[in-house]
This record gives sequence, C-alpha cells and structure tokens, in this order.
Amino acid sequence: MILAQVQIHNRAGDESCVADNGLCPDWIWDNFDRYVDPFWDHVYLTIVAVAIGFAISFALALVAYRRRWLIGPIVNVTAILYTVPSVAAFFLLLPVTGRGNTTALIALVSYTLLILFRNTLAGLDNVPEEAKDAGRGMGLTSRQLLWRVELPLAVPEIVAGLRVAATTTVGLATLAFFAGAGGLGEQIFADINFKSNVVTAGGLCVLLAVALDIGLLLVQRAVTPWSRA
Amino acid sequence: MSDFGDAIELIFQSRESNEGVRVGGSQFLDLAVDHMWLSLVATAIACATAIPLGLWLGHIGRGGFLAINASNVGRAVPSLALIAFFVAYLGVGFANVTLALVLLAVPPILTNTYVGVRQVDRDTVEAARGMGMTGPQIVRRIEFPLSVPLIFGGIRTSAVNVVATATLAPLAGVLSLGDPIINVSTYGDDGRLGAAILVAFLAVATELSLAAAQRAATPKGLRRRRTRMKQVRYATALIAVLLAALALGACGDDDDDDGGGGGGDTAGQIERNDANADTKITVGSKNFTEQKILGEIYAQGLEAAGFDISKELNLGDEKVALKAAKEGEIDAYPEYTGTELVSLFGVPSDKIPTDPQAAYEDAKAGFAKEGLVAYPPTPYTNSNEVGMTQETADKLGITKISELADVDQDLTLYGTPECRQRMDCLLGLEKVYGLDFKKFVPVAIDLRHEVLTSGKADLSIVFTTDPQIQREGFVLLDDDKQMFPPYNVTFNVRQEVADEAGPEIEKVVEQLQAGMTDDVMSELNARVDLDKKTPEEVAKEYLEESGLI
Repeated sequence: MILAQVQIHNRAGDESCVADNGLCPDWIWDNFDRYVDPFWDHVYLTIVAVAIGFAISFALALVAYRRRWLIGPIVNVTAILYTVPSVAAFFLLLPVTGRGNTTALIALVSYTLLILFRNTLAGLDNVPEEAKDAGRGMGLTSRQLLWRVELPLAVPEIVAGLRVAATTTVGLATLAFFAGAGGLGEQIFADINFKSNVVTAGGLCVLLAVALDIGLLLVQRAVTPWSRA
Repeated sequence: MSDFGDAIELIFQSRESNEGVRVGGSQFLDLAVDHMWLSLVATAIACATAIPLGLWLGHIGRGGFLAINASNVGRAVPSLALIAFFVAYLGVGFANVTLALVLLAVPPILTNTYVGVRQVDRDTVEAARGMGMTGPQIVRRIEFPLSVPLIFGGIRTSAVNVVATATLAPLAGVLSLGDPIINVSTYGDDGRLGAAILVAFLAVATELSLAAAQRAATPKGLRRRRTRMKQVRYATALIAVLLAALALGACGDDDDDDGGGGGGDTAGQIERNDANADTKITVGSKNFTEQKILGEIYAQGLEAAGFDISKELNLGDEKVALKAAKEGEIDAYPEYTGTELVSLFGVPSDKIPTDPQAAYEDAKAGFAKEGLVAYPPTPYTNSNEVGMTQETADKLGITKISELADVDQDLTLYGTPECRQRMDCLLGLEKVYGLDFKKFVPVAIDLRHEVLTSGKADLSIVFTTDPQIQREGFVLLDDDKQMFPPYNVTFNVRQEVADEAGPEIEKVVEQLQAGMTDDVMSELNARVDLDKKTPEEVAKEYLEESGLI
C-alpha cells in the first residue's frame, strides 16, 4: 500500500508571476535547460533543410544556366511549392511519408528551392561580360570559367538567397511539430498561454535566425576577399 | 489506400460525423469563406497602413533602414510564435488574430512600397517638379503609379502569407480552414487532408489572381510581354503537381511494430524485474496537462518495473489516441471512462451507468472489441464541468445547469472543438437540458480558463481537477440531471502487449493508481499548470512522494 502521500499545497488567491502566466525572468533563467534540446532540433531542421535545398537548387541553376528553356518550368514548379501553405504541406505529406523528420524536411526543403534557384541564377546572369571575356582571353575552358570566374562573382547573390532561405526556414520549422519533428514550435505550443514560455521559445527562433544571417554574411565576406576595399 | 480520393470526395460531398454533425461539402465552403474573409480584412488593413507609410518614407527619402530591416526581422518571427504571443497577451478572438496577421503582412508591403518609390528615376521627379507639381501631386501622379508593380509584389507576398497563416487561427478561437486540420476528431483524416488541399488551392489562387491584378494595375509603359504564356505555364505546372500528389497518394504506406517475449514476476512495491526488459511498451497520452502527467506516471512506473518503455505523449484528442493504439503506433494510453463510453463507443448518455464500477465494466467491454485491455480504474474522477466566474454566477443567481434554461440565449459557451458533438458536452447540454446558447466558440483546450478570466466567455467547459478553479474562484454548476458520466481513468493496453507483459503490468498499474485521489490529481495539475514544472518532473515527484520508487 501507499506509505507516503503527495503533499497538497493550497494555491487559492496565490499571487505569483509564474502562476499568472506572466513574463518572469527568474523562471526563464531557472528553466532554460528545457529549451536546449528543442533548440538543437530546430537548428538541425533548419540547417539540413537549407543544405539539401541549396544542393538541389544549385544543381538546377547550373543546368538551367546553360539550357535557358528550363528556367520557366523550374521557376513555375518551385513557385507553386513555395505558395502551398506550410501547415497544409505537412498534412498533405503525412499520408505519403508518415510522421517524423523526413516529412518535415521535405516540406521545408521545398520552400527553399524557389529563393535559392532564383538567386543563384541571377548571380550567374549578373556576372559582367568583361570579366568573362577576360577569363576566356586567359584561355579558360567554359568549365574553368564557371568555377573560377562566374561562380565566385555570383557569391554575393547566392549568399543573399541563402540568408533569406535560412531566416524563412527558421520560422517555418516552428510548424514542423505538426509533422512530429519537434523543434521550438512544439515548445511554444506546449504552453501557449505562458508568456515566459512563448517569449523564450519565440525569442530563440529570432536569435537563431539572426545568428544564421550574420554567420552567412561572415562566410560571404570570407570567400569574397576582393569585394572589400 | 485512397486517402486523397476520400479527402477530395469530402470537399465536394458532405457527410455526417459520428454524432450527426455535417462536415465537408458546403460546411467546408463556409470555412473557406471565413478563411478568406479573415485574410482579406488583415491584408486590407495592412495595405491601408503600410502603403501610405511607405510612400511617405520613400518620398522624403528617410527611414530606409527601418523599411528594409522591418522585412528581414519580420521573416524571422515565426507566425506560430506571433499568434501564441497575441493569445498570451490579448486573449483569443477575431480582432487579435487579425492584428497578428496584419503585423505579419505589413513588412513586405512597406519594404516594397519604399523601394518602389526610391527606384523611380530622380530625373522624372525633377521634371515633374519643374512642371510645377506639388509634393502630394508628385506622390500621387508620378511616384505611386510608377511603383505599383513593386507594391503589388509586396501585397502578393503578404496575402499568400496571410492565407497560409490564417490556417492557425482556430488555435486562437477563430474559425478558418485550419479547423479541420487542427481538430481531426471532428472531421477525420479525410477532413484534415481535404482542408489541407483546399488551403493549398486558396493560396495558389490568391497568388494567381493577384498576379493578374498586378498586370492590370501596372501602367502600360511598364508592362512586359509574354505574361499570357507564363499564366498558362503556371496552370499547367499546378495541374502537374496535383496529379503527382494524387498519384503518390495512391501508393500505400504500412506501419510495423515488433515486440519480444517473456513474462515476469509480481512484486510488492514497484520492483525491477529484468525479464520485463523484453517487453516493449510505447505509452501514449492525449494533449492536455493531466493526460501528459498520467502518461508520464504510467511510463515511469512501468519503466521502474523493468519494462522497455518509450513515450509518445501529446498525441491529440481521444479519437487520435485510440486510432494510434489500434494501429500499433502506441501500445497503451490512459483514458476516462466517461469519454470512452460517450465519445469512443457512442453510448447514448441516458444509457451510461452513473456507478463508476458499472461504467468501467461497460468501457472494458468496449475496449475488448477494439483489441485493448482496460485495467481497473483510478479512485479519482475528472468530469467535464460547466464553469463560470463568481461575478457571472452572482449576476445570474444560479447554481444548477438546468437553471441556465432562462438565460441561455444571452450566454456564450466556450469549449474544445470536439465539445460541439459530444453528448457529455455541448450536444448533451442541448439535448438533455434543452439549452440553446447565443453562441458556442471552439477554442484550444489550454485556453479553457483564460476565456473566463478575460471575460470573453460567460461559460466554459472545465475539468474537475483543474487547479485554476480553486485559484480563480470559478463556480461550477451542479449537473442536476446527472448528464455527465463518471470519468475515472483506465489504463488501456493493446491485447498482444498485455499478454506478453503478463499479470505484472496490472499489478504495477494498480500500485500507480492507488494514490490518485481528486486532491492529489489537482495538486499534480497545479504543479504543471501553475508552477510550470514539466509533466515529466511532476510524475517523478508523484512516484517519489508516494514511495513508489
């Protein structure tokens, strides 16, 4: 039989920031550890989705750069993927791919494609003719020209696309818990009334977005030394 | 498997849900109209604020930093967080959801308007000034027309975003096409999928029609050709994507589950039995505080007995949980006898026994048919209650549910979405008590007290063991016609797993439940809802304080 008994506290008229669902710095400080795992889930979803999305769009952009007729169809299909609301996308995928990271990643990747494809292609298209001529004059083959002249000069626009894709994906990944993939959205939803909870989880999303944004900007500066005066 | 076929059929043809509410067909149309109305209002307000502001900032050439960065920061703020934030600070309702959506819609329009004005050729502006135009004239006749294409681009981005995000509105008590997506029990899987398809269609349609409007509004001199062609390609691509989706839907998926062998000994206190390690049990729970705590208690208790436990807590409502158990996604979950009889097995409320033990026997028989074993129930019962604030109770001067009959036409009742069609909720109040409320508003289960304290609801369906009742001094109306059945908790385990685990599992469940009185459960709920501990911590405290581990 039960030996001990659960202690009952009387909370009638109890005034406390936490019980009032308020914004309580002390509580956030003491309970920050419960946001750590969801945060890393969120980082994982964002980075993997943007990386896969970039790999696909980059390949598509390189192909379409030489075969211009492909641009129209690729833009149209990715534009439609981009338009389908994310919540709907998760549920459209559930019957096909089931609950879990795969479903979440497919939806998140499909959102990055349009932005990344358009920016990569625009970057390549905006390379000055003079630079390409100079490259050809130095005897570069068209493949060498692509990797040594055109792509490096396209970096600023490619990174601009990555920055938009990364921040957007951070926001969309809050809905990934609908597909059973966890993340900070699950934390927000766990106690949607509690201001400390919503502000902490939402704030971490914004911080993550800003950190990725700045990180990508630093990468861009590092790989385009010539652009610094 | 024809998930997509069923879903599409439901869009065009309504059907009756379990308790006789019509879903699908014209009801989806109503939801779509609500959805688009909400989106339209939000986008219109955003345009009315962002365009003039953007024109002004662009005209005077200041505030570029604000206009550009507003858009970048805006993208990073997740729409879910935004809505959650508004619910937390302002409460539920149309105005708050609209405001959240407006905030979401303003940045792209503002940025594009600003950029649109700034990119107008300065020579053109100088020429206009030379012709004697005043500042407002320049804005109206030169800068605005020339920036229309970009402004429309911003409106397109915002409108599509708003249509997508309006899907989350039911979380804050506003009906939209998100309702079937979020409240699966009412609509079923086909309803959810159907609504998802409709939302996707609405977003694409919004995009296409605004693209057409953008072309029409663009000054002739700025128009590019080959737009017609593009539209045709768009439509072709759309059809291709949908066909691909349908084709994919035709392919099935199957789930698998596995288990080991071996039984176990019995023990006095919860004692580890290593033989149990061969039995894998996935413990599930529904999506509110007490259920998560119960799920954790059973999971941690069984784990202490040596079973191989994994958890899938926070599944959804009772139908989602039962479906998960029948499909083997989970092996066990706690449920209330009243809910089992009323909602899962469709027993009419006048046939439900008022004696807890008799209710358990009926529920056990019902579960046996579904292939689940229901172990004996907890001592405590957690009933649905009709709650109101002390203030409302004083004003109305009533103490019983039947007394609502005189005032019901002036009262708004809030409850969970599935309440609408449950005999132990709105449907029962209408049929058994003959009540006809001014309005019923479905809200997320977590908001059941907030709607009372904020004054939005006159009445709200709450649970007996909610600690907020004591804290906020809510008044519970007496169920004088005994409509609400007993709600003791049974732990329900899939037959195969129960056989595999042997008699030991029943013994552990009994030990775990012995200390669960009304007061204890209310205390445990308070530790999560008011003290903000996690269900995991609180379950552990229960086991420790009860001397079980």
